[in-house]
Amino acid sequence: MISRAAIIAITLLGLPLITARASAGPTMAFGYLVNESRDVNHEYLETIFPNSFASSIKNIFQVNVVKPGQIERLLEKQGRRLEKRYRPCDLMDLTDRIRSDYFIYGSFLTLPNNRIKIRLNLYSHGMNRIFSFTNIGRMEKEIFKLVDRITNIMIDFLGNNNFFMSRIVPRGKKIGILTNLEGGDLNSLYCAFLKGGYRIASMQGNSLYNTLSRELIGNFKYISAPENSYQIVSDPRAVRVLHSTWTGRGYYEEINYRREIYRIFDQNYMNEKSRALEKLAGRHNIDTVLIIGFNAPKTKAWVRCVDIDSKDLIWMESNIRGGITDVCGKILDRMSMEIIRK
Amino acid sequence: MYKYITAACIVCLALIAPLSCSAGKAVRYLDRPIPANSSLAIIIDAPNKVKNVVMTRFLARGFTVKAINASDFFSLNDVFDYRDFKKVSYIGQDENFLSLEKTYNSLFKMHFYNYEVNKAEVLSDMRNKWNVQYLILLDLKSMGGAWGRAIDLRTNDLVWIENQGVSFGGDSEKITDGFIDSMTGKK
Repeated sequence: MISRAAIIAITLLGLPLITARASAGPTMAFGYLVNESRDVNHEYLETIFPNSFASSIKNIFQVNVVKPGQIERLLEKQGRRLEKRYRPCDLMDLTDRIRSDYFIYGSFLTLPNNRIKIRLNLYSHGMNRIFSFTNIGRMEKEIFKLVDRITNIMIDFLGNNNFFMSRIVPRGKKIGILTNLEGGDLNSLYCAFLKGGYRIASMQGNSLYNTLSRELIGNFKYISAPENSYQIVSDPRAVRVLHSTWTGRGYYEEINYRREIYRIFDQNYMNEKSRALEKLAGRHNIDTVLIIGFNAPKTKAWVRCVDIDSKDLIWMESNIRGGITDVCGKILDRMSMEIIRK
Repeated sequence: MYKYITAACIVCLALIAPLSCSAGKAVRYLDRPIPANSSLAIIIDAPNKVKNVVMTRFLARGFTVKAINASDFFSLNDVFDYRDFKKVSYIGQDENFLSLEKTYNSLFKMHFYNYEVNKAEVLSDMRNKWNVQYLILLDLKSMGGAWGRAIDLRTNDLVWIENQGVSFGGDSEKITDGFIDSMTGKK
């Protein structure tokens, strides 16, 4: 366990995505975990949880952690306070103010049968991306197990492989694959999955050629979803559509068109995408969409996996190395093998 | 001199081969044999003479070949040029950039999902209006060797896949016969 932690720690510190502000290493700041339950008896957990996550991470990594109390003091000097809730678009400014590379915040909700649902958001200042996930565990006896489990999820995501997996895709399921391979290479990929026991929808396979290039498939790295997601953070406040008495009818038509694009594809994208996925799944009768992006020499790949029922990101991983056959073998092993986080 | 050129070629091939390893390898998967009297739509990107050769081989083996006169479905770029949106969007103010990045990313993905839905609708029409049972895609001139795949239009499942591997000088008739043997389970 110690050696694994050491390997992960070395990998993390070597990551190019971390643009460490402090010379000693990246700074991870922890905000509150808002109590979404109406039970005030659980309010103490709003700071207990982030403090526990911060201590757990500090025990494994050589990172600077900033706990909610410290952020409060930092912001107080600037005449501000640490809010319980933040919109993603506020995080760039916040992390600038507290000079932090990451900001981690979220919420929890107590559930029947003594269970608790935790939602955590991990914002990266350097990349302006936000990774969100939920985890359900038991209160009291298992609370520390839950903290460890969530810390491990964060560690996996921050590692070189950006790994996250909430559940497997059992063999026998029908999957739709989006990739930047075509022709014989695409056949090799399909063949591996068919022989691995999955049914494959024809999706891209119904064309001779694939217009999804290596650059274009990169768009699918970001998945907007209700529970587990990895998204680009946008700032709707920055969209300025200037108009006044000098603007004419043509100009108004243009800005209305532009507003509509932002509304559909930025603010309302998750719902629009859900509808499109429903249609796609209905046509092909698929359970899962698997997106596999290869680099140009086809020696490395990344994966995103979306469950059609929940529309959630259930698996993401980068830097899967090997030729097409090796990569497929690794993907198949990973997607069909249960990983149990105790 | 000839020795040096040969050696250089071998070195180059040795360097290139691992990069394109899967393309040149023979690959085959058959979920269930395609019955010889099935109704097929064949999509192949080849000159008309070659298309005729291929169709003739399928007809000679008892298949009903529907007259789908297409080398491929419309391509993604034919539907509308989504790249125009990127150009338009960057003409906007600089401070819009953070929103633009997500908007462009989402717009492309929605476009792609809808493109896949449109293709699935075409397949559905093939099945329901023209009574096509299987869609066959063939490429006889690929650099990595000829390949083919078949889709069962009742379920949209891939049911047959084959990469013949690199072979120099195979004629269209023989390659097509090899594919037909493979998809009907005779190989």
